[in-house]
Amino acid sequence: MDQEQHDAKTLHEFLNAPKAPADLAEKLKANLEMQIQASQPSTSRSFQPEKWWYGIAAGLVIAVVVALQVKTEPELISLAYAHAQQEAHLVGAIDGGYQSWFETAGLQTPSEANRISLSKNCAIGKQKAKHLRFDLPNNGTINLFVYRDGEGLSNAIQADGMIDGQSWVAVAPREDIRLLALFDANVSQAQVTRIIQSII
Amino acid sequence: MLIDKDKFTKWIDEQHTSLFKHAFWMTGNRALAEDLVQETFYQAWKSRHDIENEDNPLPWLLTVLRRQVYKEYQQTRLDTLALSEQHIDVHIGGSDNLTEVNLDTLLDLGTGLMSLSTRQRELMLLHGLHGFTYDQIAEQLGIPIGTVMSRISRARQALRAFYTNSESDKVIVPFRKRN
Repeated sequence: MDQEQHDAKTLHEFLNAPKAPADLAEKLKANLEMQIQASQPSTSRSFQPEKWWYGIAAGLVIAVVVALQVKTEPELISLAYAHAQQEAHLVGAIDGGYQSWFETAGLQTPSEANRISLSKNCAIGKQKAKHLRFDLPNNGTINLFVYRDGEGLSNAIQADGMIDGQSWVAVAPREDIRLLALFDANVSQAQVTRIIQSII
Repeated sequence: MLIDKDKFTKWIDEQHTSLFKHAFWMTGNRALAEDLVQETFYQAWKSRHDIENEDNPLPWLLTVLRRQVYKEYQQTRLDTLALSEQHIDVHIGGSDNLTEVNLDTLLDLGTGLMSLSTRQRELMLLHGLHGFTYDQIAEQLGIPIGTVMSRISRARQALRAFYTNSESDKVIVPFRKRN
């Protein structure tokens, strides 16, 4: 083996030395599951009418529900966005912090590394929620709203979009829990996913 | 082409360590490298229909990762500071067979790599870490093979200087400041 080959082999060994985190593959697979779940349309209930007019009635109900969703989904997001803007100047744990609230809700608290700059109870429309704001090292900001009585937010299941230059994503990890994250362009989807994963 | 979930999961198993190492050496930060790999697979799933060679996804995944790395460089302010062992933060496990002397060399190599331009560093990783030939690198990056050869040659010379220069810790290089 000449010197050049020896150097190349040595370099290759050193470049290979860093180890990937042991749980990285599992995190990536969990991300993939969430990504696939989020991209699927909301599940529709199987329903077999016994009479023909059942079908018409069901069609009418679906039309009303769809119309309500079209109307309320942007409202939910825009209300949350406006709320986040109103509380942008607030810093600290208000209304008793979030740890016990999360514990009561059966959720994990986000790790200390996530730099929670605000935790506060709030009411968005008629829905009560816990509002957390994460300020990331690269100046990115995530506003996370956790709804404990989220059954009424049937439209906020596995959806995402943009509002006023910010991205939002809504997930439903449990039947009674809805999470809505609003985040700016300095935040990657992966960072949001990691925080959500750490909670549920 | 349509990639199914099972095949994509197999890619995760087979390629995530290579992508992590690449991201780590490009950023010098384990947490950021992990973020970038997660973002890479997120984007890769979204763009999975674009891949041309499903049997050899690494070049395509590296292209996706490259976009994330350069995006990160554009978004984040670079601070200037001397590299230290803390920034390298390589986990040496029992199976690595790295001696103390080798660890020192590894730290020097890390400092040397970080002193290269991002382009040069990327070429060194494609060739030295992933084992791509000059032809393959030229094709992946869309640059002439002569450019690839000359840049890698210059990068090697620069790295050799670090192997022989015991004052490498005095070198000041652009590097991000992250906690």
